[in-house]
Amino acid sequence: MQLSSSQSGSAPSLPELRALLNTEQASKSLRARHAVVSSGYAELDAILPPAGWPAGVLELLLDLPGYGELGLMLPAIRKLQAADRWVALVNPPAIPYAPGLKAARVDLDRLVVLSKLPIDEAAWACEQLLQNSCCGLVLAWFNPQRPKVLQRLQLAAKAQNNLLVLCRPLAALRQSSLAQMRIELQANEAGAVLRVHKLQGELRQPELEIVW
Amino acid sequence: MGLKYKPWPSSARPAALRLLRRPDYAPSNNLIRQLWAAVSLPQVALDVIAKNDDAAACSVEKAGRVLVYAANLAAQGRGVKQGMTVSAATALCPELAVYPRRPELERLALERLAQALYGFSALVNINNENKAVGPVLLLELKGSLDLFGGVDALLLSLREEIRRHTAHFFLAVAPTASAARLLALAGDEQPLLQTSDIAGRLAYVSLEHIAAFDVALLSRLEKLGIQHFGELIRLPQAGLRKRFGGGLSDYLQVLQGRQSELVEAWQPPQSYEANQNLMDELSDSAQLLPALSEMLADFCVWLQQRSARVQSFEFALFGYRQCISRFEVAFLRPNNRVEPMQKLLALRLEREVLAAPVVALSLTVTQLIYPKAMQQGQYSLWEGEQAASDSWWETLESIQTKLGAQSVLALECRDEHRPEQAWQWRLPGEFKQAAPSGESLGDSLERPLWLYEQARCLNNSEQKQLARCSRPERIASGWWDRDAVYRDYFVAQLHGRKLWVFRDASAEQVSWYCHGAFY
Repeated sequence: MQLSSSQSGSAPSLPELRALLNTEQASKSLRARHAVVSSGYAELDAILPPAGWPAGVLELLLDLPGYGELGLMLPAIRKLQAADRWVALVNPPAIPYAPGLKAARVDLDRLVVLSKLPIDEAAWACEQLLQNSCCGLVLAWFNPQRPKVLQRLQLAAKAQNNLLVLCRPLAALRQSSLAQMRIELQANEAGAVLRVHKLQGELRQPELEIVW
Repeated sequence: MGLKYKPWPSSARPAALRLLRRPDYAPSNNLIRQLWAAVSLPQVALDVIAKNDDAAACSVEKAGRVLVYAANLAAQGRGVKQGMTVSAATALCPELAVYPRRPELERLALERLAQALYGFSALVNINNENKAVGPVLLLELKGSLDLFGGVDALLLSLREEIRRHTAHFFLAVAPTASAARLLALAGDEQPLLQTSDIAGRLAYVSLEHIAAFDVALLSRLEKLGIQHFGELIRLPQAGLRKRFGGGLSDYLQVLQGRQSELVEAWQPPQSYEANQNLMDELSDSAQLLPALSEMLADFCVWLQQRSARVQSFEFALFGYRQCISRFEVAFLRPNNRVEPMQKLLALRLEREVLAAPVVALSLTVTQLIYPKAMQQGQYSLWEGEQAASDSWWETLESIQTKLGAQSVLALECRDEHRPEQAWQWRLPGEFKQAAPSGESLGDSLERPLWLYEQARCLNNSEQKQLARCSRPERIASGWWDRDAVYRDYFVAQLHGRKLWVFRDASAEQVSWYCHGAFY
């Protein structure tokens, strides 16, 4: 852990130590919390606070949406569906291809798709879905302009132990966000590089590689 | 997870006519063999027209004269009586409001009450043949005693239910249907439980309430000085039969439970349609919500009594001349609970812009589901499982209602070689027909997670960088229709992405298209 000590070499000041202690405690208590579902990648679970995707909003930042998001979330989708929970895709950038999904062992009877909604309606629909405990994961592609929207979605998701993965273009990194997790995703043909920009209860901003 | 007892739907009952078992009239041992309730509605003609308690009467035309058909208590207090001319009545009571009688509304009110009473007993009868006395509804109570926890509890909830429909009624209980009917007409609400007490209790009931008798018979009896049942019952039966024929004496036997009695069972209508006229014209769709919600509540009672669920129904809004709007409310899963329906309705009404003021409403069922249909594996009947997933379906339904029927969809595979047609949309609640056994097409082939609606033509530099990493898969199909394809598909890499590309095998010049993406 890096301390932002002003005088390098000298011992950290008391407030700094306290802050460090607090974050570690917070991190511990977050770890103790129940995860929505394991991410399916051991290296990712190791850095996520509750050893899996926590309830709330994950902002996934991509330079071109439509590649890698589904790959990253596939293990979580399979696990949630096996636990009788539903998965929703909101405004997918292309057609989720049924034969491919079926081959990837996604249960099409527990998947709903909401396509081509304007931003406001997409946000409203996401909130409705997240407010239901039968839902597990909502994977959405839209770029909300008002921070209030994210706050509402986060509250809804946390209350029912659901996860919203909001895929936004990389440019959104320039704005601050209320999402509890922000991860930049660069996917390739064999796997992906994840760059963590924000993670609740973590000061580090680790970078890791996963293999599909 | 509670399994609830559900009564059989009325369609499972064998016949419309039920023969009542002849009760044992040996000295009663507190065991109730038969029990009937009768609800008389002396003022129903007025109840459906005048809603307040000011002096009011309704009129009928008879042989060119306009006569008072019924008067409410306030009018009766001023001396207005049934059968007097309207001019005489207005002379007695100048502020009397007179309305023409509306028999069709009365019939509707009776049907509605019968509908409500059908929740208490499977055998309900509307007894409305005799025009001289008001209508009476009969219902068999014996079969419902255990379910409702005894006579007192049953009567209490029965009374409460009837009061929701009308304030003016008499509820009588007796071991035979005829006796209960007479008591209700006479306004005697003290429950009569034992067959042996019938004669005693009816002794003071005036003969004019007997519908089975014609007027001539009544006047003959009156000439004999017989005005009450007590006097009639005391007469020797054989003599009575000789003098007045079998009809009267049979009726007396039936009345006292010594002979069985036929009561026609009322059947609730098989389809549902409700109409309502509004008191005022309404021009804002939000104002319609209370009236429509009320219609829905009635509808749900109807559904629950039949153990049916509704898949979709239609509301129509009428203006003065024409239908202003029709809209359908559809469910993903058949439903019979009122709260989710009202929620959907409110969402749907938000979208409704009224072109003209609305004066009438109608509700029509477009698709009903009966439990039998649900048992055939299509829908789960287990209540626990249902309750857990119901909320999810309701969420999807509310999104559909607000954003349009096609806003929430699910995917399914089709047995088809052409990639564009190997999948299709479906509604999430729709269950697939039995899946074809064995392996379906292309299970062993690698398919992408994403498909592009329009295959993108790769430009020259992209084509050069394209690295194929699979053997070609020839897809040639559809020559019989317009969408024939003749393509070689490859799994390929481009800019660090795993893509699904094809080249058109029929074209002269080789050009590459990107059709999908893995991951």
